Amino acid sequence: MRIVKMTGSLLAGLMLALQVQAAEPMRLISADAGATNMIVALGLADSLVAVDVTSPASGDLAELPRIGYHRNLSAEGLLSLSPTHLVGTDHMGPDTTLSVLEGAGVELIRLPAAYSLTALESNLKTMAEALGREAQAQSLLDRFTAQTAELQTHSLKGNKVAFILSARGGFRLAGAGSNAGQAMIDLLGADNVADFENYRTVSMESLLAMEPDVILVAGEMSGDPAAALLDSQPLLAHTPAGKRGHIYSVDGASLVAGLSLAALDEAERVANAVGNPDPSSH
Amino acid sequence: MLEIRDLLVEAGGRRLLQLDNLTLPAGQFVALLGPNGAGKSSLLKAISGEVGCRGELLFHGQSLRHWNPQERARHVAVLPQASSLTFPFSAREVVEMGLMPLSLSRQAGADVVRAAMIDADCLHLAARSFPGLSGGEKQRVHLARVLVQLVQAEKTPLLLLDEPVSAQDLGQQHNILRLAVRLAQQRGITVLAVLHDLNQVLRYGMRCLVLAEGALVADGEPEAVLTPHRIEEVWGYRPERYTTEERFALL
Amino acid sequence: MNRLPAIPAAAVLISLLMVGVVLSLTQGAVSMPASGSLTAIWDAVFSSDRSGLLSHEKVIVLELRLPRLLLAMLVGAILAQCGAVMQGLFRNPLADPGIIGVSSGAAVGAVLAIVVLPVAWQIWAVPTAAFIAGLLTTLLVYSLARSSAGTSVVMLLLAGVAVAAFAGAGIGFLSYFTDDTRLRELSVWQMGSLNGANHQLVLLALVGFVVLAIWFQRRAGPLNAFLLGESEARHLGVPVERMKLELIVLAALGVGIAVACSGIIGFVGLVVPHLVRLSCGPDHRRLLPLSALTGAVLLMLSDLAARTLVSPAELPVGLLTALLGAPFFLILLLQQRKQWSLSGAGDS
Repeated sequence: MRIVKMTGSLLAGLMLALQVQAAEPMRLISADAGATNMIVALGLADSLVAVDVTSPASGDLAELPRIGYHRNLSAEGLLSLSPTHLVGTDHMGPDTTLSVLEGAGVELIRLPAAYSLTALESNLKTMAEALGREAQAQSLLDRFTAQTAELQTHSLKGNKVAFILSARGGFRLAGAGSNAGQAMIDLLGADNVADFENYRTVSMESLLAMEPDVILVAGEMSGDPAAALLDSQPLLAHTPAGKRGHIYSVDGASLVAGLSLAALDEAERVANAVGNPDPSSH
Repeated sequence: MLEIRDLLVEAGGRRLLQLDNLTLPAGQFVALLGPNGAGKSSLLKAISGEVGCRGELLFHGQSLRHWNPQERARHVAVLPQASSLTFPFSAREVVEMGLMPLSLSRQAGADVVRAAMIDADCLHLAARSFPGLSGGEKQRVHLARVLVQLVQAEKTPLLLLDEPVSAQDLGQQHNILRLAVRLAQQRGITVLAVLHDLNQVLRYGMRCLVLAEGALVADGEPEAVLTPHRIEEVWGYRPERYTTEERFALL
Repeated sequence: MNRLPAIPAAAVLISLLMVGVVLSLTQGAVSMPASGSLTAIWDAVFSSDRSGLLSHEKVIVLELRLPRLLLAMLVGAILAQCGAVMQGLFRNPLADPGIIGVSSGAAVGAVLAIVVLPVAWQIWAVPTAAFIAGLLTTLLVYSLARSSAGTSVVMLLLAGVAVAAFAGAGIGFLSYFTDDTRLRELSVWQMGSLNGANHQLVLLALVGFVVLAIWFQRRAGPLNAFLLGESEARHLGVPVERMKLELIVLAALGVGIAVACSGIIGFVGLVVPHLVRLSCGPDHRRLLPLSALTGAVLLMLSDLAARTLVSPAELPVGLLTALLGAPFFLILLLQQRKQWSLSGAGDS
C-alpha cells in the first residue's frame, strides 16, 4: 500500500514537473536588432517581452518596453521582466549584469555580429537550437539557401557599388571592413567603390570620381531615402548609377546590427531590380 | 632689527633698486617716500621675499631666506596695498587667519583677535561680510590681521605697511598713523611704511627714507630730510614752508 | 550674513544620506519586500538568514544595489571635494575639476581606448586609459603654467582651456575614423553611468576618498589663507608652491578615480561646493566635509532616479545630477543676489 502511494505521488510529481516544463512559456529579451529579426522570423514574436533601442518599433514590437544600450544593461531592469532568455551580441555588458542574470537562471545567447552569410547562418542555427525551434529554423534555412543561390545567379559581379548612409544634413559612404554596408555589397557579389575602412563623410566630387555603377541608400527614417538623397544631391544623377537608374533605397533597420534575414530580402530585391531595370521603381 | 647690504633688485635687465647699506633698528617707525617707480615697492617686496634679489637681508642676524617659514610669518608681517578676497568670509574670519602661524588656544586666539580689531578700529565690522566693506574698512581689517600675526613674536618683529592710509578718510588716517607710532614705541615693533603725505611723515615719522630712481637719496629725521630744496629735487615741486610753534608744515 | 551653522547642516545631510541609503536598497526595477532588502544586509554581515528573500533577490540587493549606492556616495563625495579644492585654488567659485584639464584628458584617453583597442579589452582598458591620460594632462597643464616665478593660476586656467580645446578636437578627429558601434560606446561613456559598480570599484573609490579627504582637510586652513591672495598666504607661512602642486595632483587623482569608476559625471564638482559655500560659508574646514556629504547625497539620489525612472532602461546619471542640482543652485543664487544688492558695494 505504501509503495503504491509512494509511486503514485512520485508519478504525480513527475507529471506536474513535466507539465510545468511543457507549460513554461519562454520570455525573451533581445538586445540586438538582428536577434530581434531572427526571433520574429522563427515565429517567436509573442515570446518577446522587451527589445533594445535599435530593434524596429513597428507592429507587434511597438508596445514592448525598450531596454536601452546593449553595453549598459540594467540587471534589475531586465530581471523585473522575468526573462528566461537574453539574446544579443557578444559585446553585451556590463559583466556584473550578465553574471547576475546567469545566476538568476536566465539563459544568455550571445551571437557575434554577422557580416557574412556564413556568420548569419551559424547565428540562426545557434539561436534555433537554444530556443528549441529547429523545425522553424529549417524552413528559414531552406529559404536562406534558395536566396543565396538566387543572389549568385543575379550576382552584380564586376559592378562598383556605393553604399550610402544618409542622415539629416549629410551622408556617409561605407568603406571596407566589418560593417553592414560592405556586408551588403558582398552579398551582391559586387565591389565597393570605397578604398578606405569604416564609414566616412565624402564630398560629392569624390563620390562622382568613384563612378559607382549602383548606389544603395539606407536612411535613419522610414520612407524613401534614395529619393530624398537625389533631391538634396541632384549631381548623383551624373554617376553611372544615376544615368542607368540604379539608385535604390535599402531598409536601414535590416542592417543596423549587421546582416539579418531581412537584409537578404533587400539584397534579393536589389539584385532583381538591377537585372531588370525599371526607371520608375527605386 | 633689519640689516640690508648690497641689495640689488632687477627685472628684465633694468635696475629697480640698489641699496648699499641700510639698518632698521627695533622700535622705529620709518617712513618710506619717493615718487612712483622709485623702488619703494621693490624694497618691500625684497624684504617680504616676494621678489628675488641679490645681496643680504639679515633679520636678527640671520638671512631672511634661511628663516623657517612659520617663524618668519610670526616675525614679518605685510599689509598689502590692495585686497583681492572675493569670497564671503566675515571680517572676523579674515582677522582670524592671522592666527595661522601661531599656536594659541581658542580662547587666547579669540582675545588676540578682539584686541587687534579694537586697535585697528574695526571691531564693529566683525560680523560683516568682507567683500561688502569699503576699501578703507578692508584695509583696517587686514591691519588687524597682521597685528594678530605678530603677537607671538619672540624677537622684535617687522611690520611692512604698503600705503596703509591711501584708502582711509582723514580721521582714520591719523588713527592708523598714531597706531603705528604706538606699535613702534610701546611694543618695539619696527614699522616700515610707504607714505605719500609729507605732512604726515613730518608729524608722525621718526625716520624718513627717500628713494628716487632705484637709489636711496636721503635718510634721516623727517625735518632734516624734507627741505623744500630736497623735495624739489626728488618730486619736481617746490613747496612753501609754514612754521607753527611746534612744527612746520609744507604746502 | 545668512549662514547655516555647520553642525545642524551636517546632521541634516547625514539624515538625508541615511534616507537615501534605505531608499536605494529598497527601490529598484525588481520589487521585493522592503524589509527583506534591509534584512539581507544584516544577513550578509551576521551570516544569518532572516530576510526571506529568494536567492536572486539577495543577489540583486547585495551585488547590484549595495555596491552601486556605495559607489555613488563615494564618487559623489570625491567629485565634490575636488571641486571645492579647485575653486579655492583658482580663487574662483565657478571653477570645476575639469579646468585643469583632467576631464578632457581622461576623455581623450577613453576615446583612444575605445577607438583603437579591441572591444573585448575595453572593460578594463577604458577606465585605466582615462585615469592615466587625465593625470598626464594635468601634469602637462601644470608644467605649462610653471615658471621660475612660480605657478601662475591664470596660466593654469589658460593652459587648461587650451588643452580642453585640443582634446575636443582630438576626440572629434578620432570619432571621424571610427565605426558606429564604437561611437555609441563613446557617447554612453561620456554621459557617465554607475551601472558597472562592483566591489573592487567600491574599494578603489573608498581608498581614494579616505586618502583625499584626510589630506584635503589638513590643507583646509592654508586654503582659506590662499583665498586672500598668494603673497598674503606666503606671508602667513603657507608653502604656496608646494601646496599648489599637491592639490592639483590630488584633484587629478580624485577625478581620475571617479572617471575610471563611472565615466564622466559633470556638475557635481561645480555645483555642490558652490551650493555649500552659499549656504554655510567659505571656510574650507567646514566646506570640505559638507561638500563631501552633499555630493554623496546628490549622486546617490540621482543614480536611484537614473535606474528606476525609465526601467528597464537607464538614464545617464550626469543628466540627473544636472536636473537635481541646477534648480537648487538657481534658488540660492537668486537669494544671494538679493543680499548682495542690499548690502551695497560699499563706499570708497
